[in-house]
Amino acid sequence: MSGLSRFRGSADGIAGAAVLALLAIVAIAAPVLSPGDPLNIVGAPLTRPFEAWATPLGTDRLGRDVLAMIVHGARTSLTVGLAAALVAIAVGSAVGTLAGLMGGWIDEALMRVTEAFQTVPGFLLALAFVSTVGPSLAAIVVAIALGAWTGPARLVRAEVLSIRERDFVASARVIGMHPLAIAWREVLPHALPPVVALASVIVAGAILTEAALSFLGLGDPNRATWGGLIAEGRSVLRSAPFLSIWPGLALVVTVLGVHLTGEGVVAALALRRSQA
Amino acid sequence: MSAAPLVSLRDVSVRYGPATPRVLGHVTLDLMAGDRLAVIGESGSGKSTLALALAGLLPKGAAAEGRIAWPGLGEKPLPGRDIGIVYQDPSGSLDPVMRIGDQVAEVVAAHAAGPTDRSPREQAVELLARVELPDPANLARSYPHQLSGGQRQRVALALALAGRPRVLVADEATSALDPVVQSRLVGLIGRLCDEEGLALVFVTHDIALAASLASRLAVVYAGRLVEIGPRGRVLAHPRHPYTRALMAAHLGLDRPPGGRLATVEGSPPDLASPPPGCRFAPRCSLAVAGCTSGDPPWYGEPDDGAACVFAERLAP
Amino acid sequence: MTAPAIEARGLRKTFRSGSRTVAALDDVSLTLAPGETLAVVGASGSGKTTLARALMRLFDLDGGSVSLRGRDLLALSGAALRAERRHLQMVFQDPAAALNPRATIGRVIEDPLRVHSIVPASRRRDAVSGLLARVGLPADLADRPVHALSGGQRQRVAIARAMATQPAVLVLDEPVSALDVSVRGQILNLLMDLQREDGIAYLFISHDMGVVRAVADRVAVMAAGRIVEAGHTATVFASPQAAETRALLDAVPHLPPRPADEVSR
Repeated sequence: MSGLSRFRGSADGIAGAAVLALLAIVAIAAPVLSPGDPLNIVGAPLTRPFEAWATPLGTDRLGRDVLAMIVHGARTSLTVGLAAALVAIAVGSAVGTLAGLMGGWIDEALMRVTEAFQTVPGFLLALAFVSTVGPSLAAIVVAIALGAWTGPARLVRAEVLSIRERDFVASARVIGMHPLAIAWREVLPHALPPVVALASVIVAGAILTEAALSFLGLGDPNRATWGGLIAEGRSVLRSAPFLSIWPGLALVVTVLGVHLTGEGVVAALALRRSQA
Repeated sequence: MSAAPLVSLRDVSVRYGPATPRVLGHVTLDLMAGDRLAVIGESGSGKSTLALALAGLLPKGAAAEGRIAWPGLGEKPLPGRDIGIVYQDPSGSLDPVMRIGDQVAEVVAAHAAGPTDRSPREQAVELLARVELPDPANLARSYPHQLSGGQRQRVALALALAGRPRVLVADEATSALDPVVQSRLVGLIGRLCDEEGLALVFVTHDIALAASLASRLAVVYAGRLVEIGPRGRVLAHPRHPYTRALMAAHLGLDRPPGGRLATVEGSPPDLASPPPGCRFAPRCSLAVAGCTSGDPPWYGEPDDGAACVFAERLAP
Repeated sequence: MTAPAIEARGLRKTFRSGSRTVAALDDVSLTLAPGETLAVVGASGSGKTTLARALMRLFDLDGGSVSLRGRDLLALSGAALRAERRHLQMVFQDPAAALNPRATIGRVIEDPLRVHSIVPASRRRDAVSGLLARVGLPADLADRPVHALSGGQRQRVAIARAMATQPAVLVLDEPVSALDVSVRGQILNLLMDLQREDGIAYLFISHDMGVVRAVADRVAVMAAGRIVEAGHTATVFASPQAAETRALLDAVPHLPPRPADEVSR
């Protein structure tokens, strides 16, 4: 049975993938679904949900369309979440592979650096970075990755340490393959599956960190973000709670979708392992 | 023999799950008291499944057709008490964080038949001495990782004997060991079976090793019992071409050196799509067109015969 | 006498395990002529696999010298060592572990051709087909994944990979002990055919005296990291001197020759 068919056999995975697919479609089609700048004023301020046809989820204090902002916010959330996770996994895998394969003082040095990063809470690191560099999409991605690469690094290192003792790696050395080629072609592909399983946790964490940064006003000011929306609604929480509830729901659904997809991936990978 | 067999298999087939291929098909076999039966086969031949079926240890998901009975034991055997089993990898039966002596004593206590004047701990040390481990009193205080592979396998043997079973199943128990350690362990198993009056089921891929220990040989190929008989008859007059091929493939010290080695072309079949008719036919040098059209007939007695159309001509 | 294909002198290696140091190789010397098979036999822990892996430079030795086709192998490192490796190849015991389980058969065999630029990229597929044919496998196997093969077929692929660079010396680390009995003869015959055609020297690591007797010209018996007995196969088998040799010989199970005079029950 292939990994794909096992994924299909996991109810969690299917549900999660469906949610994520829907979110991705919404994010990609945002300019079509709600054309124009979502930050434009389109109606009376604080219209309640289901009151006006043009703004089904209501408007904020400035009269901006909540639905448009949530749709465009999906773009920001997914982009930042995926990009930050990708950067974190790429950097972490590179560091982990290098440390595991080279051993000796290189391993020592890389692991001390990793531990140094791990002792500082990831969110503080992101906060410090963005407030120094200034809020932009790239800065936020880097800021989140800064706190998230250590997990993949340690995981990949542990995998590499066991894979490098296996005979097919010795066989690659025997035929005279370059150490970098061995790392890239022989070792890394076998070290990655557990990292892929970890990816859902990293993506979900990245999405939440992005929302938290935006909530604190450190998001990209030119973009609609869910965290920013929640912060917006905070001051009118009693009179117009929907302003915070809608983006909060979007956040919950997204993170749930990511986690469920992760469950499916784990099911697909875990079964393969027990079969081997 | 007039006594009831300890284990009796009648037309037994086994599969490990509804959509999986049969790993064993239509096996009929009796194990008598004092028997020394070797089950010989290659990887994937179903020899281990056969051993588990004999021991009543088929896993929960396995579906067995046919009849498995233990008339000589009275009821379905209790693993460990009626049938002791030793696997290829002793680490599966040994607890890595428990002292050897305590582990053996635990099994002794669990299967104690009645009050004895010796503590389980004392009996454990005796068992370790019986499997010829050096300085058993001292060794009982060590942990599995402090022993060599051969010593660990002896401890596994002591564990298998701790419940005073009547049948000992050794499933490739010596295969992972180097030849010197292996031959000593095989000798020990033989002596123990004699002393205790144990029936032995010795599962192996090595027909020569089987011949050095067993009084009856059963040869399995691709999930089928292809030949069974007393050791002398099978070795002198093998009736199945596969048995002959296994014997020819043995590289003994009396074989003239140099020259090409006897081979069987091809590899054992995939059980998910076995060849039609006789499963050995595609690799058999004697095969004729009729071999692939239906299951080969059984020639001879149920406990002394072979499943081959040529068996009669190969018979003495 | 022709120049040796490989010559090792005074190899030493100690491993530290906890507070103890274990001499895995203790002053081991051997010479291997082109086209010759030297079997290194011993019980587990005798140091025979350590010797194989040390010669392959899979770890560093504590002392000694290795000369491969007249070049000092232990003095090489980095790119020079990698280039020299084409003359010294190895087949591992368990083909399931020694071939990248995610690779295709074609890639496994192509890797050494690519690494040493032996065949231009455009002709590599043909070269892979040729190597598959030499080890008795059909060319259309190249695109199949490694895990689709049986154990014997995998070992053939491993042999094709090792032969791809036309090495002078092939170290065979128990090449048939993980294989089914009915397949073992095929692989040993194949190895002997390839040796006759190419004149490769084999260092054949084994614990099975029956196999050794069938394939080796000379035998070296190892125990506790030392060579305790060495000589021509016929001599060693006819009059074993060391206790370890006799123990290994005694351990080979005896199959009575057919037809036997035993009477069936």
